[in-house]
Amino acid sequence: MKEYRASPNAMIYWMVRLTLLALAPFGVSVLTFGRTRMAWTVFTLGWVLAYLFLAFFWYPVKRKKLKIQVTEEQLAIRTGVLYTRWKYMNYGAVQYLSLCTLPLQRVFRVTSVMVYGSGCFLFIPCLHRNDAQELQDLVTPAAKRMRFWE
Amino acid sequence: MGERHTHPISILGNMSRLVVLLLFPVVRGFWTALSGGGLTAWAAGAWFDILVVMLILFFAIARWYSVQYAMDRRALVLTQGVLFRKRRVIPLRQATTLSTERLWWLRPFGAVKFRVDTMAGGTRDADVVLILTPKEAQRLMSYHRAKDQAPGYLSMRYKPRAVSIAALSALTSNSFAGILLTAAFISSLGDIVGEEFGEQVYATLGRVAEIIAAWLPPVTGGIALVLLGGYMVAFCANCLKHIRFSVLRRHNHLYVHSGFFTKLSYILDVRSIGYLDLRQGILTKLLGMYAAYVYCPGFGKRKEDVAAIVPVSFQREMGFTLKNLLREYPFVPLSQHPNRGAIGKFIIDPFWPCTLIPVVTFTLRYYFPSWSSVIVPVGLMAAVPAYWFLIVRLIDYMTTGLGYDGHTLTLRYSKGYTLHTVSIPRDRVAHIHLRQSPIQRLDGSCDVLIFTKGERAAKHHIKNLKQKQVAKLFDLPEISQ
Repeated sequence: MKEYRASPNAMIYWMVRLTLLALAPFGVSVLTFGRTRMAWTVFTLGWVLAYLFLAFFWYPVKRKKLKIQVTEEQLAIRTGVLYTRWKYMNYGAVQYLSLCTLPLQRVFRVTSVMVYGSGCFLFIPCLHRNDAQELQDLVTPAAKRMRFWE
Repeated sequence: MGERHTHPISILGNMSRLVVLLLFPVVRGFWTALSGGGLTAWAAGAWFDILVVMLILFFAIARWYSVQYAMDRRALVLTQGVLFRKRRVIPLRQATTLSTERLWWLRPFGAVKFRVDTMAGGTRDADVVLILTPKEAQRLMSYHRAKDQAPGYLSMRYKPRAVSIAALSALTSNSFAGILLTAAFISSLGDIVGEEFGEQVYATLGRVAEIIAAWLPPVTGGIALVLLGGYMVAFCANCLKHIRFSVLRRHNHLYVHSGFFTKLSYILDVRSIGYLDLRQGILTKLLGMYAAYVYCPGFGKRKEDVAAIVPVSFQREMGFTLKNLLREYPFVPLSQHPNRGAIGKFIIDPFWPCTLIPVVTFTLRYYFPSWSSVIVPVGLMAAVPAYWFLIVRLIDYMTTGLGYDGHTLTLRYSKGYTLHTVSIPRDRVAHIHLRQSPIQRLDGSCDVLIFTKGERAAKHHIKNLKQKQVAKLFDLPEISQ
């Protein structure tokens, strides 16, 4: 049995992404400062609280809970923040795995994995690049013979 | 195997796809009129219109000519495309359903629609649709039947009684579908015989509504008339679709025939059936009746298709029929049930409309008393489906559960207004998803979602079972902290 967890860089990646996304409402707050006091206060408080909630609760819990187990018969994933989700897929139902790396993910050497099954689809965020490749090789051994990514 | 062309009537279908090119002559006509040109000016440019029509005809014929097919016991080979040639080879062992549809308007041309569907491809229509002669379609269907001719295999034919077909039609007819069908029919017939026809029909309906208004408030009477009329049309259409319905099981295939004006024939590979679904509503639950459906790519995909494999039957008859038609899909006893305290999870969804609708109705009636004759009937009509939903959820709470004997899963749950009892072989399960909310964490419960393999994800949702017991039942690995 093999186990995988979210990459140690996953938190940094999520925080950088969140901060970049927060620049937009931050800019709006700066530009509209001094006008319509009530609306500005509600808007600014809203996005600041959302930022703090995501940064100090959501992403840490998400990273802590994410765990993948590769057993002899199936792939098991535990994920979720408020709702805990366990997902189990037999290898017979797995069609293929797809590894996806965005430019920002490449900086932090993290990769998202998409597991395509018959009529279904599982998403695993932010594994370490090497772990993702190893997972793909374990679940779909044919992938090992055709390495495009070095 | 020699390649052949489809029926020439396909050219008409190809032309309809290119009808957008007729915009050019239309635009030219408008332009001529707007720039002050008369009939002479328009006629001078008629060569352009003729050219466009000739172009449409040319491309339609070219497209028909480009489509070639060949089929034998092993595969269907389809080549198509004018500019970009595409060649598809579909092994027959991958075909989940073969079907023919004898549309009444294709019969004068001696043509039928032949369909092949697999687990892949789109979810709205079959992977391959060809228009062929009836003889050719039968020849292609016979390739799939060939292996079922071997001696020693028992076969079983099921033909439902007329009352079962009427019951299925009565329970599955949709008022709104009937309304749309009627409106389209009246409008189309009006286009053919003249606007007066449509006006006469609507005037007659108005007169009937006035008569009903003597007993019912006008608004209610009008709505009831429209819904009832729509329902009767849908009921008749469903009955005609299921006339001469029969199912034959031979070896690994089911042969389904149905229809009066439009004759439908299907060959289903039993090994491709994802699950067997027995459905009930409140009325059929009270009467102890079920309707059996199967999920198989290509079967029951479109609304014109037949979807039930066994129309409404009593439990004993249904059990006997399914045992012979689909013995691979038994129902095992349920071993997992939600705890009694889980009732809140079942009734929370209908709770809100059941509470809010009466409150809103009484509030509106208090503030607008002159509108009482409209508000109260509308409020009542809105409340009926809400309370109906509540009853369904209460029945679901008392009956829901899960069973597994190592080979087959049996699930009982509700979705919308329908109660489902589903049998799924273990190897048809794509993945199992356990979902636990913060409240469920307190007593170790979870919702179980089971996804079955197929063209599209089919989800089965059972609420509030014990997480550890479900994991033990399916031998699921424990994921430690």
